[in-house]
Amino acid sequence: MNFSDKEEVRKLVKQCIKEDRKSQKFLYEYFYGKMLSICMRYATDYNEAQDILHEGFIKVFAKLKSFKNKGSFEGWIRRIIVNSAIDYVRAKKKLTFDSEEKSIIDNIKDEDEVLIEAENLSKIKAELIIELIQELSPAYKTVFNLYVLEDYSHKQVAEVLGISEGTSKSNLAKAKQKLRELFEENLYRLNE
Amino acid sequence: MNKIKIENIVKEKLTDFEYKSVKSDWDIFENKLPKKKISYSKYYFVAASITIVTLLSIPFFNKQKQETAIIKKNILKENNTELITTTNETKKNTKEEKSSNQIIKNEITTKDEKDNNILIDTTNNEVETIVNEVINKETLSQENIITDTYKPISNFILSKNKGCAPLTVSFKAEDNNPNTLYSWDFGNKIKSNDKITSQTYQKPGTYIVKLTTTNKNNQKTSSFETEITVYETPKANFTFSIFDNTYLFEGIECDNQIWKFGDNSFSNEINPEHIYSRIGKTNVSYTVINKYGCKSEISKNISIEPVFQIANAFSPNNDGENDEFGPIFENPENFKYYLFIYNAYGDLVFKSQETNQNWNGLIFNSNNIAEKGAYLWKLVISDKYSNKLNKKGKLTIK
Repeated sequence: MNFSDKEEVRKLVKQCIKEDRKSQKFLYEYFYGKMLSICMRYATDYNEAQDILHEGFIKVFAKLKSFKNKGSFEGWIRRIIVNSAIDYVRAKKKLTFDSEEKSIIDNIKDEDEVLIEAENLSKIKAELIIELIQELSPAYKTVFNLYVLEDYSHKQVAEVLGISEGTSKSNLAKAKQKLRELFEENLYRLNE
Repeated sequence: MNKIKIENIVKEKLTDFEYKSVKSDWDIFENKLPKKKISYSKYYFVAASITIVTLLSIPFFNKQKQETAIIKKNILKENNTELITTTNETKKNTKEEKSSNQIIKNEITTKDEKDNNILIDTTNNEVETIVNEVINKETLSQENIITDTYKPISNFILSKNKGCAPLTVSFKAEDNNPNTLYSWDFGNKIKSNDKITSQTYQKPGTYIVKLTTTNKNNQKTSSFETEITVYETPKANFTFSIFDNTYLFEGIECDNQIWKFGDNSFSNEINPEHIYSRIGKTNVSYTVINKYGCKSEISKNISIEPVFQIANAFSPNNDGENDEFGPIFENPENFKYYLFIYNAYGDLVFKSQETNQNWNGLIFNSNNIAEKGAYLWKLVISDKYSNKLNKKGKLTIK
């Protein structure tokens, strides 16, 4: 299966719309590992990530009829999964955002100011990073994930989470600070 | 060392990351998908074609009835013997003279009842009753077949798959079918038959946990296993020794350690040295963490005494040498003291008027130099945190 071949994607989508279980299974398993890694970042543990993933894929299958096959199929699935993660986090936990603090926002001149230094940082495993992100508060990690990993702008983050841009900025800054602390506390696990 | 922007390292590592070795949980997910709408069109087609064959047969063959019976029998054979017997009775009771119209009518009725797998031609009431029974049995047996063909799933959720000894892991089987039997093998020679269970692994090692689920109705089984890694937990303990004002702590061999000296200072060294700026009882805590993150902690109360030197003899004669009596601290910036001097009768002959004031040999409230002989000194030492400590000693005036 080549997912950059529109014709192959069209056939698979068609079969899935017909509720052909084999095709649904193929689609699910093909994207399972990648979509799980996204869900894990919004969750606190595997069980939560699994719930998010399942809800997301149910939506994927339900919305297949409206898939236009213009852009990337993976990107389309990914957006649904991310939205499902946001819905889940919003519904399950009350997101408590740190309010917009003028002093903090004023200090965020360069948004990339949170640096970390370590000899073996390049060796760090993705699994460990996900584990550390999971330790962030739901609000911090949602903002961090959307801004850093989904390339949302602060404006978009603000829209989707119903907060102000300033709140998005200050929560991102705090998320990065907290993440740095978590990195530093766990430096000894770099070679795990 | 290079400084890296935290989001860059996160982005670099996570953008295309996927869990590769994780088994997909399709079986669980499939159960959450909306139930498939069952399509009958295929069966209608089969039924219709058999009807046509039957109709065509009538004008050309006299023995068409027998052939129909054979078709029935073959189809029914797949279900169960009881049904075949019933069919045979049906055949006996069927009148020979019967019109093709009747056959069609009855077949259409059968189709309408969505019993598309069997075609039974019937012409009288008695047979119809039997057919109804057959249909009822068929429906029942189809239900049984649905239950009976259920193959249990053996996926399970576990609270963790690695951790430090002693590691308690809870397990939950995903299969919710009431006919499923669960059989756990925790890999440590302990077994369980509960749906939800837990296990504590005392010793470090790798354990294979296997869940076998069995449908007690049809004995279909499924099994799934996964690995649990239990890491060794180090046991913290330490000793210390004092050299002058320096405390030397010695810990155990471990990958990482954190010392908290009880005065808001820390160290990550294996055998750190520490100079206290406080006195009195202090709680020292020592935490060891191995590379797996397994840790243990011990804390001990130690009594910190300030280190100072003090003479045991003194000659106050203003010769510029040894004219003052008082302690000399290793870290004078950390301590304050008041000095008291008593004569052999226990009378106070001197006391510091301000902190850190030494004795110049003059008797309190007089201009007389103290007489030669034996005296006692007392120091009241305090640190920045207002902890106090008294020290006493003897002194000879020469």
